[in-house]
Parts: sequence; C-alpha cells; structure tokens
Amino acid sequence: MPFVTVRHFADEDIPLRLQLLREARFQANLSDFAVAASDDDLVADVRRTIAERQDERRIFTLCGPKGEVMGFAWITSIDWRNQTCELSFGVLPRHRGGPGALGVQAAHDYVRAELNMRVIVNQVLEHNTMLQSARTMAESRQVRCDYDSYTVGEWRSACYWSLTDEDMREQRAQKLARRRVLADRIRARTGELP
Amino acid sequence: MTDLIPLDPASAAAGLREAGEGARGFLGVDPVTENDALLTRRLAALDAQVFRAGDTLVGAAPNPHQPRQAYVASTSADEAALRALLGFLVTYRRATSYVALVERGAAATEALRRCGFAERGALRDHRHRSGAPVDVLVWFGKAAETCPS
Amino acid sequence: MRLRGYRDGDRALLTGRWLPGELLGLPLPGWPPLAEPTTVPPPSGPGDELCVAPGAFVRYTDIDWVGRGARVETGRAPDAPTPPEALLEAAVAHGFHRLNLRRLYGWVTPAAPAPTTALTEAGFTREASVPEHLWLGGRAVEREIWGALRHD
Repeated sequence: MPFVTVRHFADEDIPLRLQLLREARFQANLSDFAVAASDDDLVADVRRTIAERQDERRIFTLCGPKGEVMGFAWITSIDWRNQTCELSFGVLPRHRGGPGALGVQAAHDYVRAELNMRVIVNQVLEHNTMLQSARTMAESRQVRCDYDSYTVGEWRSACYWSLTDEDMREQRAQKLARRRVLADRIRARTGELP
Repeated sequence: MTDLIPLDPASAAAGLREAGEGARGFLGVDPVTENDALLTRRLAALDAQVFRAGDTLVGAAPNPHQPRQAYVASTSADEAALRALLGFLVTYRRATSYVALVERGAAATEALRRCGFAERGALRDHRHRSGAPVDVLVWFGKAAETCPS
Repeated sequence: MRLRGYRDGDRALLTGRWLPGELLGLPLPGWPPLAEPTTVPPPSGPGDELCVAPGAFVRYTDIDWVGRGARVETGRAPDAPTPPEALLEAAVAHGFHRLNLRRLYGWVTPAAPAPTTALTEAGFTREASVPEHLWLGGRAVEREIWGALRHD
C-alpha cells in the first residue's frame, strides 16, 4: 500500500477544502480569492468544478495510509490535445513537510501515468516555502515572473518551471544514485564488502 | 440464480469507483480517470443500465445500430453474475447477441469464456492504463434461441 | 490535401446515403426510397471534432484524450471532388498530427462494397469483427473494426 493515495475530490471533501482556502498562509502563498467570497459561493463554485468543469480543471484529494485527508492537488489550464497542464497543491497544515512531499510526488505520478500528461507546469509564489525551500525553488525555476499575483495586499513574484517525461526520468535516476551512495556508505561502515 | 439489483446512476458510479481495478474499461468508462459526475454522464449517454449481482457489478448498453444486440460488461470473473445479466437481456430486452470490449488480462474474460463468448479480435493500444497502452479484446456471444421472433 | 474545421454553412454535407458510423462512408447503391438518410450531429463538447474536405466530412468522435484515440467516420457526397483515398489520407494526417492522437479506428461493413485497398493504403488494418452488429436491408450484418496506429 503506498503511503499516499490520490482519489477524485468529492462532495464530502468540501468542508476541508473551504477550511484550507480560508487559512491565512494559504491565502498569502497561493490565492486570496476566498477572503471576499461567501461560503455558499465557494461551495457552489467547487461543486461546479466537480460536476461540470472536469474538462478544464480537476481537483484530487491526497489521502494518507489510513485514508485521512492530507490535502489537495488540482490541475488547471488542461490542454488535452498537447498533453500539458498546470499542477498545484494545498496541503493541510499538520501534513506540511515530509508527508506533504510524498503527496506531491503521488499527484505528479497520477497525472503522468493515468491522465497521460507529458508536460506538467509548476507555479509557486517565490515567498511560499510551505512545501519546498527557497534554495530548491531557485534551482528548479526556469522563469521568474514579477508582479505575478497580488495576494493579501502585496505583489508577489512567481517561479515557473515545467517537468517533462525526460526530467522525471532524470530525477528518478538521481534519486537512485543518491540511494546507492548511501547504501555503499552504510556497507563500508558495517565492514561489509560492496 | 443470482439476483440482479438495478442501480440508480449515482449508486452505479459509486459502485464502479469502489470496484477499482476491475471497473476500468467497464462499458468504456474508467473510475480512475473519471469522477462520479463524469461516470454518471458517460453511462447516461450510452443509455447504460448497471446492476449489482452479489459482489459483482454487471452492466449493459444497447447497440444503437442494432436494437437486438447489447454491449455487456462485468467487474469480475463471476460467471453466475454475467449469466444473470444475459438472462435479463434475453427476457426483457429481447437481445439475440452480445458484444463485450474487455482489456487484455481483465478478470471478466473468464466469465465471458464460460458463458460461451468467442474472441473476435484485438483493438491495438486501445486504452491507456497506468502509463502504458493496452489492447482491448472484442468478445461476441450469441443468445440461445428461445422462441421465433 | 488538408481538412478544415466545420462551419455552420457545411451542414448539408452531414446528411447522405451512407451507413451510420462507417469509417469510409460512401453513398450506398440501392438505398431504399423510404429509408431515412444518415445524419451526423454538429460537433458537441471536447469528445467530438468535425472537419470537412470538398464534398465530404470527417468526424472524430468518442475521443479518448487520455488513451489518445478516436473513432473516425466519414461521409462523401456522390459528386464530391475529393476521392476516397485522399479523404482517408487527410483524415489520418489530421488525427495524428493536428489532434495529436495515436490511434484511429472505425467501422467497416463487408456487406457494403468498400474499397479496402484505400483503407490499407491509409494505414488501417482489420483488427476485429462483430457479427450481427448493424441492421441493414432487413437483417443484422457483420461489421469489422479497422484501426491505425501512429508510429513515431
């Protein structure tokens, strides 16, 4: 059983999603449209996404090993013909950090393997370090866009980067190589021959 | 004889979602890539009927070009569940033949074979599942002659 | 030859005496006078694409954007300046390179005389057959599924 599973966002997830949209850090780091919206409007909007707008945008629920909701991932700007989309995340406060990162990976895997998307575009506001450090972001960004979003009374710059199939293969190879180095080091310490 | 319980569209979608892997490709829908609302819409467009038969879901949709032929699907290898569906189609829909489009290696294959279906060919790379294309096999079954129509 | 997108003014092309859903929809000789002609609907939603060539249409339907496949049907008027071979070739080129699909398939009815060489030349292969699939001339006749894959 994988640590994080990805399932379709459903009606019963709406209250948690609203809670997240109303959270201060989420509003500063992603979008603050929920500040001025009533609960009813937010619920109606998310219901429309579930029922009518699956061709344009989809929301997924990231669940932990016991089925508990860890957060959400959503794809927007879906271009079915060109097999590209933008992927975003909102992880509930108690799951940010390690488990959140696993959720990010699971959503990337789902969008690529099951929805057959070839290029995934990431956008993160530069000051948002909820899921990754400023250093990682500076390394991965391909485009930096000033005045990208205006949230909670401030203009924010955004980092954009795309991930292709090739990028994913490379990342996987790097991860395996790092694991091999670590394994070699452990073997050396325990006196085993490599 | 296994009882068939007809499902309303919302229960059909929920049932397919819970059936997981076995429901992928059921009458052409896929609960892994489609949410309940999409599944409901797709099944309605096919004029499909979904039934529960024990732990199995079975379903049928009419062939719009030949009203005596039905597309059929099942989420498991349970022969009795499929037989119950075929019996329903003969008795209440006056079906004389059935077609099933089933992914290579799907559990339902075994039930089709036991119910006398024959393989009629393979649609190459017809679906995409977990990062790879898969073939879909075409199975055909003939209803036993009951009475002259 | 290239296909262009469907416009409202092309509507007359969508009705004719060919078999419904046929991959290569050519006018059928001996169409019963009382039988309704076949009609395809104008495009609706992301699962449908409709294109035209002089005197003919190409419809991509049941588009599976995840599986990258679509069922193709065509219809060609008796006096169309587009020969069947050119129509199929353009349909395949448009499906693969403009819609970015990897698989195209469609129905072929052996009871209706169809030039299968045009299908083969356009890259289609016979993949399966379904007995009793189409009601034609007072009986249920066999239909075949022909498919083409993009290799790149």
